[in-house]
Amino acid sequence: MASLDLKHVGKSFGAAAVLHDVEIEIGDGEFVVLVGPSGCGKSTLLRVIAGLEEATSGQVLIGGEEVNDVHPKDRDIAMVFQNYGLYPHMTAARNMGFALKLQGTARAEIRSKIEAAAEILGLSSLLDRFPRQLSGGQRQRVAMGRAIVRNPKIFLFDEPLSNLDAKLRVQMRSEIRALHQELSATTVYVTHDQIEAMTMADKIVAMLDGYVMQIGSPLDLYDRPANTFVASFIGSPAMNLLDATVVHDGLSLPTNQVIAVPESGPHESHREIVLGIRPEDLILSDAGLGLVVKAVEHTGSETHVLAGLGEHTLTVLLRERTSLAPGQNIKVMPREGRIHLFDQQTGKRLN
Amino acid sequence: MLVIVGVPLALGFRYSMHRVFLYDFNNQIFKGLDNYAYALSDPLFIKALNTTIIFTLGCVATGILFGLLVAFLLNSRKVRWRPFWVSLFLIPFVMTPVVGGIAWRFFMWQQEFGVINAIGGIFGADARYWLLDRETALFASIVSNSWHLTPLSILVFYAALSTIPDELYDASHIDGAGPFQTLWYVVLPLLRPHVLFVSVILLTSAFREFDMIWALTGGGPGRSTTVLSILAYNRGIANQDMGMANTIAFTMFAIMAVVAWIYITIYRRMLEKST
Repeated sequence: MASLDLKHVGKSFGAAAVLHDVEIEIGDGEFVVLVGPSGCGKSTLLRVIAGLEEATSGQVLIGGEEVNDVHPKDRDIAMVFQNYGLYPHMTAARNMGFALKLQGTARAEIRSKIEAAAEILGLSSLLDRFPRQLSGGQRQRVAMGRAIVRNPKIFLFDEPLSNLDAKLRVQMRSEIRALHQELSATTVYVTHDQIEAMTMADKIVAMLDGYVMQIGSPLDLYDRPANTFVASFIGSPAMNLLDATVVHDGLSLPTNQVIAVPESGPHESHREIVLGIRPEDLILSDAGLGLVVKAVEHTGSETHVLAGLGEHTLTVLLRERTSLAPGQNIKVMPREGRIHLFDQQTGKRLN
Repeated sequence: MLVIVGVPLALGFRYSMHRVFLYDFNNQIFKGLDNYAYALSDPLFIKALNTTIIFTLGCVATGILFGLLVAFLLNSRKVRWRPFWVSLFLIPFVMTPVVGGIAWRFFMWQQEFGVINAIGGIFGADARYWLLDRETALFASIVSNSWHLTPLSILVFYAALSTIPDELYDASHIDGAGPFQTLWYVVLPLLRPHVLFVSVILLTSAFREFDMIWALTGGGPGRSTTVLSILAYNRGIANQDMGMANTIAFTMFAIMAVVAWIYITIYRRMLEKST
């Protein structure tokens, strides 16, 4: 186990810069999730940490020591790949023991380590099978087993669950989480799925276009997104974002309706801002914003009402069933203190 | 199909059991297996069989080795103009063996201004009469024929290599394998069925090779490059002994059938193991 620090890490492929000045501190035993849309550089960052790509600038420190020039095998890391990366011609056991074999570990020791890891992962009866004889979930477990047997300082996961079906994904999510609690090894986990990020992480690093947009605990990012990207990326259904103008008694919306501005927000008149309200923070009321219902979606546990505000569509999330029908007029109020304000130019949080 | 393949095959088989001379074609005498017995006890046949085996194994080994080597180089991430290199390496394969043989004879092995001696000269080697020397003629034939066969093996191995996902290289990198360990433990095992496939093709091709050797040495000097197909030709055309020529041809056929059967068995087993 070790801490992992990234200092001003940059990476470019030729003229194309894919990582810009990435600065992340990861404490010993922390579970950190790198999240962002495709092409945001999260996988590249993971590969830089692993040593599969070289950082163009900046420093990567593992346990306080710079490892920029250290070969992947000497960084004492283990990685779980998106497509499992299992050797098709080796049995599960040999896949798991390959790294140890290369290190010249004694056979008996390799065997006992493999068996111990298989025990943890419930693979004991599958050790003599080849990858093609295993299901997706089992392959994923073998890939994790391969990481565990090495007892590395840092675990790296590169979208490990994206090839599994929805149900298995939820199950593996908690298994990986449980495994982390058992081994309490420093873990960096890459995903594009914000639910995975929210449910698994001690700390989330949200990325966009090679920039770190925000670092914080899942609820930090949810409750106080630092910018419009994080606001819209984290949470499902996504946060409602509306352009608005500051006027003397509140915020003027595109339809000229006015709502009260929170005290911590900006008060300069005519300032152009973006107003963000989470769907569950809009409550039906007798007074407030007038909306026209466009569609009603039932998920069973909750109801999503898509309602029009002029040309914009807002999502209102209701916990209870509703008899609302398209075309109906409703009025909603934002919950007290749950309004997010962002600068329209920079997208940065204002309150 | 039956007519085109069946009739010559049946006729050939009939001739192999008879005394058939071209100058005395109408006087065919049934000899049964005597022809075969005679061939197997004929020192020239045994010598030709020996030469054929050396020639074949030499070509297979060289073809596979260089095929793997070039395929690895082509597959390397740093290669530029890949399509150019791939098509360049395929040229020998599309060239007619006779043309290739003549080209090698006049441009490569030729003693006074051939490329091989020119290059050897740079390193201080004495100019040799490669194709006119009993000791080197077979070696030179193997080299030239391998040049003709290697592109096939390059093509197959290159295609096979490009199907190995990058993730496996990454995984073995992380597992701590160096380039040679990755090659030995990961890449070569994955290529095993392809190596077997290519070796069958090269083996059958080299075993019955005629034109390349004919163009290079004509089976000489002496009988140092007389492989079975050339021996059969000599018997049949030069000696006009069609019976013996067909006996030799059918012996080759039998040998190949046995070898092919062994290969197919191994191949099946390998496939069963991997599914």
